[in-house]
Amino acid sequence: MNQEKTVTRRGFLDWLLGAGLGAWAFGFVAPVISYVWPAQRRGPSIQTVSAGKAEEFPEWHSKIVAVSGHPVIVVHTPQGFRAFSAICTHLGCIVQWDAGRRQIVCPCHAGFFDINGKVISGPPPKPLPEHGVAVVNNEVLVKSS
Amino acid sequence: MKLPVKIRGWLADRYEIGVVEKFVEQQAHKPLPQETGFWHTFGSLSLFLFINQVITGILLMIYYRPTTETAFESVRFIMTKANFGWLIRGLHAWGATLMIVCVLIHMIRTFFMGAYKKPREMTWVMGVLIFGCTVTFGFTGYLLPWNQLSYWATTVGTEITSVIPIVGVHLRTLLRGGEGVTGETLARFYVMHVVVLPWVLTGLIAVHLFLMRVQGLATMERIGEEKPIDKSKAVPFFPNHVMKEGVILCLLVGALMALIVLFPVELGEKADPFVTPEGIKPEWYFLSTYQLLKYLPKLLGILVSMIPPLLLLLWPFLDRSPERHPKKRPVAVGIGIAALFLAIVFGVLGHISERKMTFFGQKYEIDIYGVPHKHSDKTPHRGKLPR
Repeated sequence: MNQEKTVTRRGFLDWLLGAGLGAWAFGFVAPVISYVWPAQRRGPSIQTVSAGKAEEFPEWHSKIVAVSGHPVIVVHTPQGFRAFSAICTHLGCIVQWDAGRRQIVCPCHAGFFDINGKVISGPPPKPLPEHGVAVVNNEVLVKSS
Repeated sequence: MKLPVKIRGWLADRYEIGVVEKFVEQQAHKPLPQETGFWHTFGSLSLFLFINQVITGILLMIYYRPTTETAFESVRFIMTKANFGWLIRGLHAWGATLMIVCVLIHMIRTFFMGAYKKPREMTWVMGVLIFGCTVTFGFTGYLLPWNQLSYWATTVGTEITSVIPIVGVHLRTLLRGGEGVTGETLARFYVMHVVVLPWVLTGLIAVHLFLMRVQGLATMERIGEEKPIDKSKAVPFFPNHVMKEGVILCLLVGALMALIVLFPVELGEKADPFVTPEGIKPEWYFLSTYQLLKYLPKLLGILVSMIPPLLLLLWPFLDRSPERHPKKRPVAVGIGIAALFLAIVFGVLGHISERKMTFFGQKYEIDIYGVPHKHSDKTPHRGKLPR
């Protein structure tokens, strides 16, 4: 037979004490977790960085520049300048330009990307994100996104 | 009156020193089962190496500076300027490797002798946690010199966590202290390495040792049929077993010194977040997992690589057979041998992959999967033609 559950005064006080202790512990733990979580850096969302003078940049040559703290690979093709994130989409290694094969290569696990940043072979799951490039006053400017 | 006797008298006048003396006496002369041999010394060796890590770690901390601008230079200072710095760093780096070897051998011995079975399940669980803590020590310590290999091994190692559904990216951010491996990561790994992990490992070792001393060493008898140790055949802990440990310890110290002198720990180049060197690999104890991850999609790879540690942790609760003798546990022993074999095969493949090797005069390029390709100057240097 089902007996109706009654809350005794002692039981209620025990529950209240337990809940109070839990809240007290949470009050200590929450700031610690929040402290350990990395503080977000705030700043301008779009940054433009110079990759150098266009005439100092021969065709089928590349350069890696830091844009908002992230490495970006800039390649001079006959059709113009192309820029991609230099962080391999597989495990985060920095890709390099293979001028002989005209491909972007990841030195870690043999990931190959074409000049459009698309995966040709190897384990990378996604293409390299592209960055905007503009040549202004003979200066190659790369946008952060 | 001699000084030690005087000190003992002084203490005895103030404290119940007899209780402590009786306890030490009991522990020192505790009889051990007949089977106790040299294979039983690897637990003590692991403890010795942990003490070595603590002492040399404290000494390294005197000169080490955990910032991206100074970490590499401070390790170079330790190795080139500080008196015997090369020795202290060698003892620490090679000591870490040997500690993992000793903990592994200790676990393998425990597994094949069935010593993890009832009533010692929790001793085993503590042992697995100690092993996990030891390799985490290795992972966090590897970044501290802030050289190219350590930087990129940490980048790849922490990137792997990001494929875990839902929490992966957050876990990576928490580990790195941001998006990439930076000074924030170095500070976090340093705190983990020198403060958090030492205390966690000390606690785990204390519980492990306590359980081992309270329950005693396992015999080879079936569960529930253990007989009290026959004192006429038992091995006294002191001096017999302690002497065995002493002999192995001397050999270990010899091996440690030989490794430091013959294979000095290198520093390499300072970390450059914009250039990934070719052929970066993790430390040897992560090589089998690293190689396994190459064959599988990232998420599946993570799930598959989580099976061995989980199996290890839960093994005493899965293996319910009362037998301890390896000949009477063919399934468990078979699984154990297969796991060791796979770990060695994947480890060797991981080691030889992405290298050029010469066999019988023919040059080969080993691709990322460990498959050799005949080398000629016309083929791409990565060894595998892109589609």
